[in-house]
Amino acid sequence: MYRFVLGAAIAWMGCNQTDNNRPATLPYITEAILQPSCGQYDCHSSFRREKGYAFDTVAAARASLLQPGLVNLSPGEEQNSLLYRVLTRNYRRMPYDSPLPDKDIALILQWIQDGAQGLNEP
Amino acid sequence: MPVQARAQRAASFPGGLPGGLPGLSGGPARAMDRHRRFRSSWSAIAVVVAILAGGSATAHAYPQFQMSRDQTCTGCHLSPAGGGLLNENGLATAETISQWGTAPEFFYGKLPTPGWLVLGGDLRGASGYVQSPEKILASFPMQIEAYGHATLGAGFSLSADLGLRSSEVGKESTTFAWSREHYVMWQQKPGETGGFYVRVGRFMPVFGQRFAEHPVYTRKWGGTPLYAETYGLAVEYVDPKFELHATGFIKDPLIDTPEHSNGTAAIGEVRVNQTFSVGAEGMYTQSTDEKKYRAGLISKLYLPGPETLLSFEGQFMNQVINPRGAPIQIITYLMASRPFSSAFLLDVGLGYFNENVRITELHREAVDLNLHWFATSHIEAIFTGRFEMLAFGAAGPNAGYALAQLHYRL
Repeated sequence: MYRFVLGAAIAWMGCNQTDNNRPATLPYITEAILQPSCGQYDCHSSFRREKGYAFDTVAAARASLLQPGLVNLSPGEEQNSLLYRVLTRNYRRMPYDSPLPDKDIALILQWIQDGAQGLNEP
Repeated sequence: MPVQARAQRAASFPGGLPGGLPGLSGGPARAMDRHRRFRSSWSAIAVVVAILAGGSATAHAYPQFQMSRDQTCTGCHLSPAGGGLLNENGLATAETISQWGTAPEFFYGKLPTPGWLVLGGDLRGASGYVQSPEKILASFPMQIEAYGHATLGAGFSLSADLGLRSSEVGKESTTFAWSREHYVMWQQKPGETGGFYVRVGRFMPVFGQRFAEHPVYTRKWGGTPLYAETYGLAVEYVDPKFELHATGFIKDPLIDTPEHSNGTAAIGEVRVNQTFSVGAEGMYTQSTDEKKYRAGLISKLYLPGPETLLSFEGQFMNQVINPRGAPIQIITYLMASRPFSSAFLLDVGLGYFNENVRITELHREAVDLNLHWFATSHIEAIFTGRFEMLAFGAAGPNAGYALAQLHYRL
């Protein structure tokens, strides 16, 4: 019985997997990607604010990402956003303990290329 | 974890490679180049250290001893959830399993305390190699923390700890120390290791296998990350045959912690026989930005032949993000633990974390190895290493670390 359930669960997950259709929104990127990987207590938390950035809540992420250079919305310059560069470079790459998957980084870039929806909302 | 003094102060490399460690493989020129690079990136290293600091830094002892040593956490600890100060049996165990024994009491028994007061503490530091994918050598303190437990009578007691921590930006002079845990506890059967317990105060919600090592996936992403203590009320029942823990909690109103949510957590475990236990767990948290629903299974199986304990935890987590987005995650960890040569304990752990089961290549895997040497009742040396892959290497660079850790229990 347990084998059937396990097999069905794996099959369900496999059959329903898609490439990367997650919402490229600030709340999603913050809560699903930045907060668990970057907003840890000792790093970019509201308490610690390493380098002046906090990503542990949507409001804190918005305030941080509005700082100059973090998000570059100029057409063709999106990949020069500091947020994207620190996630992809080999030297001093973030997060330091555990790199992000390529698809998380791609979603963040997509959000920037889409105009960083939600960045200027209160 | 306590007090982790910050790495920024610790991770400097005056006059040589950090911690006196030899250079990595390569010739002298390469080592010098690496040295210059290290010096230029000291702040980066500090961040790494900050992440890893506390590596196993909770004062949690080892759930790996359950089954082989005692059936419940309270067999060795004062807290019904384990961790922190040891009771008499825990002290005796600390002496028994160590290489050279020594008096296990606080300060070797040279500072006697009255019967109603138990004192203790933990000091930890580590040194080693981190790849993320940048290659870094680092040395850093992990934990400087003292504990106290006062029996108040009528089943009531007060537990509190005090230690150093990362200070809040802009408030360094007033926030360098904190009390990670402080709570009042009522125990139905004072002096015994079972019955009802009620705790009120600041502590970690009781959830999961409660491994000591916070990088373990089921802690880091499983609801009990480093410094996620909250204020709450826990009602707990511990029996050699089973135990139940239910916690209601609110986020710390005074300081920001990794837990920004209010919620509830419950876990129950049945010890089917002397060598097998199984349990279920659930947690609900809600913040202004999201809700999280967690459900999971835990199990322990002790194999008397090879003297190996298998500990498993698996969680499903549904994260509901406002205004839209609901990833379903899978977080699992399996650890095999085996004592050998009377004073050593070897752990091999396998972690799996799938950030969103509906999307391909968002999973990661880790292989952990911990080798503990209990030199004396108070001194423990640990080698801890991890190799981590993203989608088995298909979704990004690999990462890992190899650290030597020294732990002194007061």
